[in-house]
Amino acid sequence: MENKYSKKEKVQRREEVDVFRMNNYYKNIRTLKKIASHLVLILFALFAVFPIYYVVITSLNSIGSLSASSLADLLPNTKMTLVNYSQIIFQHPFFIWLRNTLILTVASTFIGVMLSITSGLAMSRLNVPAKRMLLYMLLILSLFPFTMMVIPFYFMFSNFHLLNTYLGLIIPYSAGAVIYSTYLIKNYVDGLPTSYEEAAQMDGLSKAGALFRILVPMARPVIVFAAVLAFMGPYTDYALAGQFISSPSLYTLAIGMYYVSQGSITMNYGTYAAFSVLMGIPIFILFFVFQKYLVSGFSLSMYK
Amino acid sequence: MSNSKKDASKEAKSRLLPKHGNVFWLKGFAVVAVTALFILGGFVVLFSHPQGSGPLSTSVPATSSNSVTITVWGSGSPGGEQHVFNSTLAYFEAQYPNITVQDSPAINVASTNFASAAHAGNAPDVYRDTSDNAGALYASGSVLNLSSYLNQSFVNSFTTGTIKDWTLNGALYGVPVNTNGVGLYYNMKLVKTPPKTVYQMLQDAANVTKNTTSTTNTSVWGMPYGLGTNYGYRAAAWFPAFGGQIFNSQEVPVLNSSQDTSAVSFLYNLTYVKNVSPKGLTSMAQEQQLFETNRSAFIIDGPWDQSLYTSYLGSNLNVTALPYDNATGHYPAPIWGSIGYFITSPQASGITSSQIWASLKFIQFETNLTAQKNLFTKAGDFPSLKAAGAFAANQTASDPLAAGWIAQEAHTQIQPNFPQMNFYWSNFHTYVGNLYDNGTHNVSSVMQAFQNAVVSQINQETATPAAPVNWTLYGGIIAAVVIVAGVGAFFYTSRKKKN
Amino acid sequence: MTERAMPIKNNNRRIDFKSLLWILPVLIVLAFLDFYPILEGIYFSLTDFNQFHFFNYGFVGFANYSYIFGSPELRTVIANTLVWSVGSTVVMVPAGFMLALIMNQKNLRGKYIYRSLYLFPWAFPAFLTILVWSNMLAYNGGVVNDLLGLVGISSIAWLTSPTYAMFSIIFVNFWLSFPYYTFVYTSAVQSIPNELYEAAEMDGYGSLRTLTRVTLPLLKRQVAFITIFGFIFTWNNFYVPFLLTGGGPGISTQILITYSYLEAFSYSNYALGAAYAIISILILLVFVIVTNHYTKMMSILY
Repeated sequence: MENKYSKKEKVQRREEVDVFRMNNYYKNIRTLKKIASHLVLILFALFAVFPIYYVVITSLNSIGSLSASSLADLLPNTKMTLVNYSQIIFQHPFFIWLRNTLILTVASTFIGVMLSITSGLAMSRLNVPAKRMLLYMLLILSLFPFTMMVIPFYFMFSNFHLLNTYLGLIIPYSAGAVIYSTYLIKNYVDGLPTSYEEAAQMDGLSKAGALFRILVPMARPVIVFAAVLAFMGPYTDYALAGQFISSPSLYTLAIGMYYVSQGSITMNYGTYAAFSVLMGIPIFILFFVFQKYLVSGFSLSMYK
Repeated sequence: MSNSKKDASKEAKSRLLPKHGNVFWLKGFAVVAVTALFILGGFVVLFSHPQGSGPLSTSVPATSSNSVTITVWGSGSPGGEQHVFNSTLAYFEAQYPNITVQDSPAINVASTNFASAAHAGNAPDVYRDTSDNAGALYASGSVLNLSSYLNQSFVNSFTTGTIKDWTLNGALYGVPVNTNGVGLYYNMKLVKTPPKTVYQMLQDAANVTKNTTSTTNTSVWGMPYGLGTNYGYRAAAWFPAFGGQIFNSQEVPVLNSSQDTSAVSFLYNLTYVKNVSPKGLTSMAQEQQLFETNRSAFIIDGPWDQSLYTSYLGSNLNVTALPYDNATGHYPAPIWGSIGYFITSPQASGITSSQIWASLKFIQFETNLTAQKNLFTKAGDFPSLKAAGAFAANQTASDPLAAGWIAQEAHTQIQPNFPQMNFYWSNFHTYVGNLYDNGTHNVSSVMQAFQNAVVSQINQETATPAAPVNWTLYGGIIAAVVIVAGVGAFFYTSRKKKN
Repeated sequence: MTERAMPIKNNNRRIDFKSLLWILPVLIVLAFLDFYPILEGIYFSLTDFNQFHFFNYGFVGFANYSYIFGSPELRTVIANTLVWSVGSTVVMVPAGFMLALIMNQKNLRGKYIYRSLYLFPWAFPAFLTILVWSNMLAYNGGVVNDLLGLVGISSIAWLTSPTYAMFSIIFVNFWLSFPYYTFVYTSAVQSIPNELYEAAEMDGYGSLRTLTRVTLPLLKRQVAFITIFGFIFTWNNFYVPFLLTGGGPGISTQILITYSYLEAFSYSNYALGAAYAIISILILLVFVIVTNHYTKMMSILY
């Protein structure tokens, strides 16, 4: 009996010491883990930001050619000017290009997202015939290579006399947005409960009314997300716009950049960099403002 | 929710609904819908296919007072050329108030865009491009044969070389506006007298080269030459220096000949044996940057970059003919190409006879003496008109740079403008560019592979005889295959639903 | 929880004909902008549409396909495409997953700042940043070689030597795409309730065991879906190799899609270009069907 008792006491004491040690051990591990995490995150952040920093700093340099620059030019210095920016803005029809781009992007984002809300809701809540196959097609077809598409597109739009018009670009841009956004919205709405719209229907709303009035406000994150992605496509497109647009009054920013940096005899690297910054910053701000929707919008939750 | 409860509710539901209610409807409807989609797509294929316009009306009015609009692509590069184009255009529109010209700048209107547009029957009426691109387009049927529209005295006012550049199978298919090719620029700060022989050029280059590998920004190179750049445009000059050529008189490539191999070996050795050129040059811009910053003695380039180099080097810039090869007894002969205006065929653009009339007036105006004089003084373009050439020679009698270009003009080759030439460019870039990037020294096997690639591609494109398409038959076969595939896919995807 | 845990299935199996009106835009887009170009592409690949037969091309059966299967380039190009897609996928997808896991730790400060910084490569137009990278990787005067020079490494021909070219384009693609995967995986990882992690911690699970026993099993299909579609997207990613190396040196970075473009637009052989595109599509379709058979990843779509 006595033996047993003392043994139990010993064990208890040893356990106490162990818990103390373990607590210390875990604390250390946690600190280490935290430091390692920050280290990895900082490394990736530097990696992500460096090329952007490089463009910004190059755009502020007045040195025209790449090989004339040295590593010292990578740091902020006194030679910096805004001459590259003023050249783009004042010597070229920058604001016409901007206007064209905004007309195209805003119109195709609006049309694309409106249409995909309807079809996304239908794909999620209605008994669409051959739904599964349509979903497969939406996803797989949207991944087809554009080199195969460009020439047939050109023939089709030429037949409909849509080349060199806003409409001729808005149609394919919003179509591209419809494909991807329908899938996104459908996926998100799948995760929302049916009880609200059922209640609304019992209160006398039609099926369509219930879906639109109840689900659209609930799906706001994914709609914003889809809109941001839909905006990005036409804003950065060169392949299609370069084929369809030949009239200078309809140039978009992407074509304008090509015109400014490749077209002139003296390819000025600083001008190119400045144009990149002018084009990149607005879209970055857009992403930054809607950042929280970028995470929630994917809705790849484990419950699916 | 407990399991038993779940099962119970499931059972209740299955009792309420017929077991396979409407499943056949679902499948049937889906198959119909998918088939309809495919057929719709098929119809678009059939009907959107461009149909050729009516036969070419050869009668063109001598004058016309009806208002007519023509579309033009390509006014030259921004700067001098575009400026001259615009002023000439303004003068033209004042002279012919009934003709309206809709112009798009050359930028962003690449040959690929022109090809798609021509195939869709939507090409502009007038296009401006190099004589070899235009030659391939003429061979494809997109370009109008101008021989019957232009009288002999007009044709004779141009230099023989440029007219040859714009003639294929006896047909004149465009009007040249300038003519040029590459010569040898040198920096007089580094090389005092121009080299007369290849041997001397290599000597000069070796003397100048100071390769300090540790800091790339301070090394000086004699003659930077990126074999992979320019798609073999500059390299073509060196085949004649070794007695070789690209195509023989039967328009068959002879790139694996010993002469062509030694020409490429010579250019390759600049980097890997003579060590007067750096490795890793991927673009002309990199060579230019070295030359602009006094870090290279020679650069092979054309007059279109002269104003750029002058702005960097000032009076130190000079130009001379590519030097005589004393070992072989031949001169290098750069491709002396030409840019010009041409009119598209009715099949490519639906051009009408009055538009052909207006286009002819327009291209004669853009290539006339006044325009070419302006192009020479404002953009440095070498004229294609004999009279403008005399004007240029007179203007530059004291200019050493112009003397260099005139010396080069004595040793040139005509730009090959038959479509087979198209295979030379990209294959040169792939095969010879790879040789330069790799530094593998196996020039003769590379040239053999180059030759094989060009021959096999020419055979592949020309061998297959074109038979008229039986649209209903093949469209039907394709539609049937696609429908079967669609139905199969549907059954595959819906199979699991039953479980 | 229960409501979310049971995804909404349509109990009423009667087909809703009116729903076709709702998805009409999608049907039109599918017909005109997907089926039509694909059928046209298939048709072109069976003709001799090239610069020699520009208006008067005709049906040649499978001549283009037999030419391709007899050409020595095909094997190299397919091998390049595989190296490019697999190489990109195996670095960018795990990196995104790893960053998502790191940022999902409960009490880690500055998550928001890191995430904002990761937005840069994603948000900037890709064709701009690719050209910036091509300048940074230039052999003479490129900033990467300059920086390596500081630590005594001599210049490397990143984009023009066959040894480094493929590595370089995969590296740039990694820069371009890791943020996207970080965000996608963050979305997936955040859906796992914290209680599960707490339970795992109470059972004495370490980080690795939590990952392999809790996180991965729960997100199996999501990971498969993201990986496989990342692979397909990379397979068709035209701009990175085209703008950085143009397929060079030689054809060492030429992938199916850039090679199709080269045939169609450099050699004006539209038929052969279309045939290459069709071959690429067929390989992908087989790949999707086979992988879906094993992973059932498509089930997260419905």
